[in-house]
Amino acid sequence: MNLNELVSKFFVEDNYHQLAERIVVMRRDGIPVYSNTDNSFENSSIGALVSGLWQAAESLSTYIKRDEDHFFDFRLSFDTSSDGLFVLPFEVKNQTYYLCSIYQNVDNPAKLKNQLKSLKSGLEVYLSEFSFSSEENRKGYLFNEISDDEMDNLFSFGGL
Amino acid sequence: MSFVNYHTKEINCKIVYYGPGLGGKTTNIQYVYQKTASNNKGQMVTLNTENERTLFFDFLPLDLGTIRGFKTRFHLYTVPGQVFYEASRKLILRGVDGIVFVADSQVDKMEANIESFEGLKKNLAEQGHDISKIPLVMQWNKRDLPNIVSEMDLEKKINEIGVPSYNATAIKGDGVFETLKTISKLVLLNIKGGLDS
Repeated sequence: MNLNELVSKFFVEDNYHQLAERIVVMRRDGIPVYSNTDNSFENSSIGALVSGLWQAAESLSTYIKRDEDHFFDFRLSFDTSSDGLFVLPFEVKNQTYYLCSIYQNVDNPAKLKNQLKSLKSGLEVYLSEFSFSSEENRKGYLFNEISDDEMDNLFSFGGL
Repeated sequence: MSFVNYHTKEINCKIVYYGPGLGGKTTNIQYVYQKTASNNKGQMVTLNTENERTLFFDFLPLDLGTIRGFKTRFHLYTVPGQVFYEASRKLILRGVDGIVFVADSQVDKMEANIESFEGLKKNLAEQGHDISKIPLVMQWNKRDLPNIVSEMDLEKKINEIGVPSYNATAIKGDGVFETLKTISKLVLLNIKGGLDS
C-alpha cells in the first residue's frame, strides 16, 4: 500500500474525513496526498497556497528566536470566531507533511482545532507503523527517451 | 519535487517561470490557461499587488495527458520579478523540477535580464542545484517590439550554457506552447525512479 492509500484508509475508517468541510493532507511541496473532496485541481491549488503560506510563515519565524527542535509545535491559523483555516505540520519517515483543514460555521473552533491536533498525532503514529513504498528505492530514470509523437500527443489539448 | 505515484500511475512536476519584472512570465501562463480546455486545468491562482504585479506567485495546475500509462500533472508557477521580492523567489524555487527563464528582449532590459539570471544561478546554488544540470529553457520574449536585442546577443550574454531557447511574443501566444513543450519533455526525461524497484 502506498502513502496516499494509507492516509485515505486512516481518514475513512474512523470517519475523520467528516471532521471539517475540507481536509487536505499534503507534502511539504504542496502536492496533495489525501483530500476529503474529489476536485483534484482545487486540491492542487490548496496545496500550492498552503505550502507557500507555510514557507513564508516559516521564513518570518526566523525573526523570532526559536528552537529548530520545536518546528513541529508550530501551527498556522487564519480565522474568525466561526470560519477559518488551520494548518499543522507533521513528520513521517523524515518527510514533512501538512494537515490542512478549512472550516466554516463552526460553533466551537477551539474544539475542532484540538481534534485536529489529536488527529495529526494519530496519523503520525499510524503511518510510522507501516513501511510504504518509496520512489527513492527505484533506480534509473522513469523515461529513457520520449518521442516527438508522444510529446505531440501530450500537447494535443491545444496550443500547438 | 517531482512525485510519481506508481500505483495510481500519476506524475506531478513543478515548473517555474523566472525572469525580470514585466518580462512576461504571468502572460505566458495566462495564455496557457486561456488556450487549455477546462477539463485539463484548474483555476489560475494569482497573488497580485493592487496594480496587478505579481506579489508572491501565480499558480496553474495543468493536466497534460497520459504518457505510457502515466497521467501527467504540471504545476506551473511564476515568481515575482521585481528586485525586492528576492525572498519570495527563493521560496518558490524550492523543489523545482524545471525552469523557463523569460527574458525581455528590449535593449534597455538587458541589464535586468542579466541581473535576474545571475540571481537565478545564486538561488539555485543555495538550494543545492547546479544550473547546468537542472532542466532549463530560455524564452526571448517581446520579439514584436522595436529596439530589441538580436537573438545572437541574447544567446551570448544570457545563454552561456547553451540550453534550448525560443523567440516569443507571449501576449499573442507565439512561442508559449513551444517553450512549455520543451521544458515538459526535459522535466519528464529527468524524473528519477525507473519502473523496476
